[in-house]
Amino acid sequence: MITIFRLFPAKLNLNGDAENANVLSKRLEWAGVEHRLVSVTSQRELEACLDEVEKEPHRCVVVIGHGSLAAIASLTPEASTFQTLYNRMINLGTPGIVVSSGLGLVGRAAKTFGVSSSRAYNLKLAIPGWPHSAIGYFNSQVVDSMLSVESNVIRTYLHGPFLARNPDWASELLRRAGVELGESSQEQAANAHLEKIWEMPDD
Amino acid sequence: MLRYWPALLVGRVARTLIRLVRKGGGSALPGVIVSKLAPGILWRVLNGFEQGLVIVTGSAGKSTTTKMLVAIARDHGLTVFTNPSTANILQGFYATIVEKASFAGRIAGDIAILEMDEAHAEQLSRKVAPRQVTVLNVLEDQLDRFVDPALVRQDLALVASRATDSVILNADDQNTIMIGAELAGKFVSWFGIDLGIMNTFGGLETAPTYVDPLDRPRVDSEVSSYANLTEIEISSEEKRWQVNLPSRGLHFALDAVAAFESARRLLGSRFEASIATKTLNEVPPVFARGEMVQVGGEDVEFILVQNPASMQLNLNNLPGNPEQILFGIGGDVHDPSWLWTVDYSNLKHVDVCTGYNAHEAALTLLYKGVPVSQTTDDLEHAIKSFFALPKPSTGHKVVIFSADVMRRMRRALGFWSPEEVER
Repeated sequence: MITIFRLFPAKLNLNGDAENANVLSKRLEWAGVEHRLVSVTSQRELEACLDEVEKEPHRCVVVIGHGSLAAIASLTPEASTFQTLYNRMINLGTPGIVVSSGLGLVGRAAKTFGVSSSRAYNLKLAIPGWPHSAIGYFNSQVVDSMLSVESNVIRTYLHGPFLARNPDWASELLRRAGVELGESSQEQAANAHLEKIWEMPDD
Repeated sequence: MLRYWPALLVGRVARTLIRLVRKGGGSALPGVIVSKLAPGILWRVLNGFEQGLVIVTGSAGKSTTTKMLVAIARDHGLTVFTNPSTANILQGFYATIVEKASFAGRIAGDIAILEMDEAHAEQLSRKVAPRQVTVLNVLEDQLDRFVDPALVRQDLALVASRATDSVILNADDQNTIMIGAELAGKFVSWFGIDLGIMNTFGGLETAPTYVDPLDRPRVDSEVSSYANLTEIEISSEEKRWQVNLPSRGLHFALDAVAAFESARRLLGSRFEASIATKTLNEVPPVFARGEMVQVGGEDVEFILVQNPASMQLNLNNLPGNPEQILFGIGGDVHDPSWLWTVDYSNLKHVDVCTGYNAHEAALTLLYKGVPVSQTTDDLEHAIKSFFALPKPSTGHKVVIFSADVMRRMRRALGFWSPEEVER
């Protein structure tokens, strides 16, 4: 059975980023795929998550969201385990997504330069094996890409529920965890909204 | 000083022309014009009040608290200049000046009591030192502008540090307690809500600080009882007063006690608690903060939501399970990601989902398991559909909307006066 881990969702959900785990869970639920959604809320549970990734690297999906400055500072004692977990995910090919300040926790923070709030409209990408476009919101400018992939992990500064706005990316992530989703009626309803959302202009 | 009259004249002509072509509006342009032609007029106006400037700021509750504080001050005999709630940024102040100032750049009044946006309060207080500052709270709000609550707290701490007389702070928000800890030498007083009430009703969604909590300061005015969502008791100086809130919810109780304590400090020996509580009992709801209006002969409740906290608190306080709900999220919600952070378990269904961000909102509700009957970003169509529904068999229609949908809906429904549209 596939397990979705959402790490410290009370602290790493500043813009709805931990909701990416719920989005994956809903997609699986709509498709009738049995799965577990596990909230990791302590060092002990983080270590248990690491163990699970070691044992079943391709049956786990790990979601690391974005937190406030205070939330990230409060996770300093767990930072080394975050980094170990991330490195194992990269080496073992475990699928996952890490958002914005969560990237700092795993030792992959990009350089940012100032506040610039905007909607990324139809971001064009050329990452082999992954969708070629994405949309989302950001509120800081980064030196490198708004969105990149390392092994099977999506690294993004597009905060909030990225996987809801970009269902192809969610499908690809789940495919790498061994799940092919058929289209459910709920997904059709979601896609009808997404058609309109993707048509919205840049600002 | 008559040097401001040309700019004011241009601003007023622009305002008149805009109102001729846009019934019920409502434009930032006259204020923008005056801010470019005569930026100094703002400092002149705000420095011109004999009893100084009072700032009410923080993430949430500014409009209601300011309205309450202004009403109390007026009932104590002061002539007060204040701003409409949508004009709480610098451009808005200029727009208010266009409307109210004499050609000499003066506005009549003993004192200015203004609600101010957090960032704009920091900018403005650099130029005009406030006599008194009330900081209500720090929430995870407008993160597309502020990025992080800690940065908001820094701005508010600067505003508080510039008060020449007193600072009034929330004793139940660790952020404002942190601000108070940095105000050595300032006169600080505290308002709050009894811990038992907070524990029973779930708190007020302030931004977590994730550090060891600081001790709660000794509170000068406190909400000591809370019943039926609107009946509160305020305790201060070992006395107790009953107050009926203008709108439902613990956040309005906080606004009331904040206004009470702010007035107590502002008025000093002239303050009479009996006058203050009588005023609080008579304050009508600020527009769309649980306001009941008549549309087509039936009652409709307007609920404004501006951030995750206000959405959550208002959903938590929804009466029962309303039969008919319109949910409107407009273009003012620049980044609708925060909609995902809200617990919608108290929202059982939505009849019409609308606004510029209708489909973002509907997508959120779909994933959260809230059934939505109709989604359209055409607000006029949404309004027609919703108000064509037969009167609910119990209760009343409920409209939950962001500020942009509120303003557009007011105009569409014929609430023409600028005050009604702007509030």
